[in-house]
Amino acid sequence: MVAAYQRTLQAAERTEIEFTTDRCSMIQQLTRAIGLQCMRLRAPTPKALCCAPLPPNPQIYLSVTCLYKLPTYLTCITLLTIFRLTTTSFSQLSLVFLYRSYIGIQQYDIDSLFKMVNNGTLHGADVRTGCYAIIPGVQNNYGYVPSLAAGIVFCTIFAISMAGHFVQGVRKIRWTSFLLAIGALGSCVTGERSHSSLMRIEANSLHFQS
Amino acid sequence: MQITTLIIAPTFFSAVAYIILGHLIRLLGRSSSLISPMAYLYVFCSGDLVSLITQAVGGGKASIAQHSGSNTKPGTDIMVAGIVFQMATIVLFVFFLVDFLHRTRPMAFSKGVRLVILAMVISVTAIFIRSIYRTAELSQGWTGYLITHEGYFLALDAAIMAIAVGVYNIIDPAVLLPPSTMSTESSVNSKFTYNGAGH
Repeated sequence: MVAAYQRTLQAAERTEIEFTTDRCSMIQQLTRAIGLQCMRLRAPTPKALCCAPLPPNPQIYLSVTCLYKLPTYLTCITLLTIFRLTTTSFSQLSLVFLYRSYIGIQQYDIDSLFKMVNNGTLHGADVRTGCYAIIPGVQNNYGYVPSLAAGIVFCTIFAISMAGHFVQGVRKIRWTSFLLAIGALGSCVTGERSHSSLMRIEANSLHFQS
Repeated sequence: MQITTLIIAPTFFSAVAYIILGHLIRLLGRSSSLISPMAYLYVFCSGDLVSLITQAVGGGKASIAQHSGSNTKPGTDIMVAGIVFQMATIVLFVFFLVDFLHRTRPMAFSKGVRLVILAMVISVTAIFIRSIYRTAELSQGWTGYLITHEGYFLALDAAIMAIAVGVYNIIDPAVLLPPSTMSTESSVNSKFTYNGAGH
């Protein structure tokens, strides 16, 4: 199975085979509407395979994602504002990251994505950057499936700490408290790791091994 | 990309340690330290900024290279250099901290100050441990042993950083440390003199 996947991948790298399943054609339609041809099967490395599989239970997925995407999103804005002008590469990086955390909230809710496209609220979004599938036998970016529980636990710890320092900062007007709050917010990204664990899917949902 | 944010966040914690130490030196007198409180801020914050920019540039390069499927090694090497620089900064800070603790040993502190020193030492130790872990992790590359095992990440990064920031939640320097009257007075004075001179 893994060998078949690798073969498909190699073929894909040469010719850019497109997805053919129903869902994929829907996503293609969507991405065309957004203005990107991103749903072509073009994975730079076997580690970062791009596709858009549905999670086992989208509703729970979405609500959990919203919870821990918010701090990530806020951190991005903060850091982007601070470091925007320092380096070009960092700005690029932050923008990609910002896209990810924004798109991450809705990325599997295809209907709402369609709605957003129709409303005109979503422009040029890179749907590709948000989606990573975990294929058994093929390493993902981390080399392991991150623990969802650990992600949520640490995200909560840092969120509580952040809230505490923020309140203290406002009460005592000490900027050390605000620094600690920003740091804690940044560390909330630990929770982002659980993002990947939610996307664990069966290999056959990729329709690779025909 | 999460990795970049996870690298940046702890520098805020270490910046807090520099500020607190500067504050303590102002409270306890200039003789308690080798260098002046402001020197801490300048030396270490600029050190942090340099390492941060190096890591961001390296991380950005590696990330873009990975995106386009090319070699990530140059970017990763720059990132490792940034992390090593950060560790060197922390080592230097630990040296000054030990010196401070040695000099202030005979002094009698209030309970609040003693607690804040304890909190700062715990936090700096945590940041130091994490920095060692990060250096070891990334010098093994993106597919090394440490980076591909979640347990190490959770114990030596997530949990350690939770301690580094959580200790200030429990022992809050914003509550325990009296505002440094000396510095505010002197800054107000200098402002007045400046204004006077200007007019």
